[in-house]
Amino acid sequence: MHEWSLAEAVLKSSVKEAKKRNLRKLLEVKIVLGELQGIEEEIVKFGLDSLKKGTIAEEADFIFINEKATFKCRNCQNRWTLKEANINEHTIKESIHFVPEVVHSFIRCPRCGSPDFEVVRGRGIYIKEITGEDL
Amino acid sequence: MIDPREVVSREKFAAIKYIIPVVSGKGGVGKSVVSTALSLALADRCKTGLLDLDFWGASAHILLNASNEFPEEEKGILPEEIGGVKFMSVAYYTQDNPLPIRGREYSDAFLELMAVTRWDDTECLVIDMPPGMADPFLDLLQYVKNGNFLIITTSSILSSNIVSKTLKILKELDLKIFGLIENMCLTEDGNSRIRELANSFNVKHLGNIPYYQDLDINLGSWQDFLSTDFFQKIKEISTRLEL
Repeated sequence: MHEWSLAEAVLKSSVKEAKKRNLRKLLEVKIVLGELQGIEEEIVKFGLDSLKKGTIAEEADFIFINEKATFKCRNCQNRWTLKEANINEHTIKESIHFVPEVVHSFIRCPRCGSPDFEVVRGRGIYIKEITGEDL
Repeated sequence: MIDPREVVSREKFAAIKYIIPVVSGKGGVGKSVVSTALSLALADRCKTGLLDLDFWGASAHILLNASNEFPEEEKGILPEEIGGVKFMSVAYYTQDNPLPIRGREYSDAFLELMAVTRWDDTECLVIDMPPGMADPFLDLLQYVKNGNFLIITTSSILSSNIVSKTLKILKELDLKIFGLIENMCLTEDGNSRIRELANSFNVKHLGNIPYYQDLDINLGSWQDFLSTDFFQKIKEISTRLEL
């Protein structure tokens, strides 16, 4: 699954950041999952639990925070949610799952029809916070 | 906030022995056709990939007649293999729709594709770049530290003027340049201005490619593309790349 590579990215980035901060081991990693990308939390968690063995993240807890997706039109300033965007077709959801920016290929501002909008929040995966023990 | 895609993207580029960004600065000089032909030509010599980073004008998928299906998933995304070349493009996900995105969104899509694409044992990655010096070019400079640039120009003064600016930036940053190709030449020897341009930047003039009027009828099937004089010319030029 493609979530595996995202899990790998989260682990490598957390470990790198921990080393930068002189942490001896990682205790907790808070990961935000944006609604737009539709990442399967269970698969990321499974990936992290498998990949963390033998690293300074071996005893870390991975906490997931789900973030709702909202959009803002750069043309008319309208704001709307992913639910309101009403994306139902499976292949479109899959496309956005792989590369969230392709949402611009499929939806427009519901008020003015502009393709020029931003994903204000809830785009994809990022690390919100790491905590650990100092050296 | 830590973006987890940055570390792995850098690692993935760094793990590939030869990265060949095909750039110009100018649009319409044949970067996509050269990139695609070059990747097919190099596939005989080493494990080669082609990454289409021209998200606004993706066209390598047409030249390779890529599948309409999503690439396979296996602990990441496995690029489709076409004619011995591992190929990745955003076109798999736009479903042939326009992609009206700004630079910030371009950078996000660029990182996403790099973070999840498995190039595995690829030794040589050809990158088809969009024209200009905006976010795509700057992202490339930020994440690819081991590039060997290939410069494409036509004989036109409009092209050579813009290409000289691209060369100026690449030289200023002390980046490696494989050389320059003069494309769509109307005379056998090309234009002396282009040779002078290459000399002035101490860059190899790798060759002239004539303007082939019938090339277009052989585009859309990579097998037919291999039989063109254009492809043979690129193959000959590819032997001059020091891999």
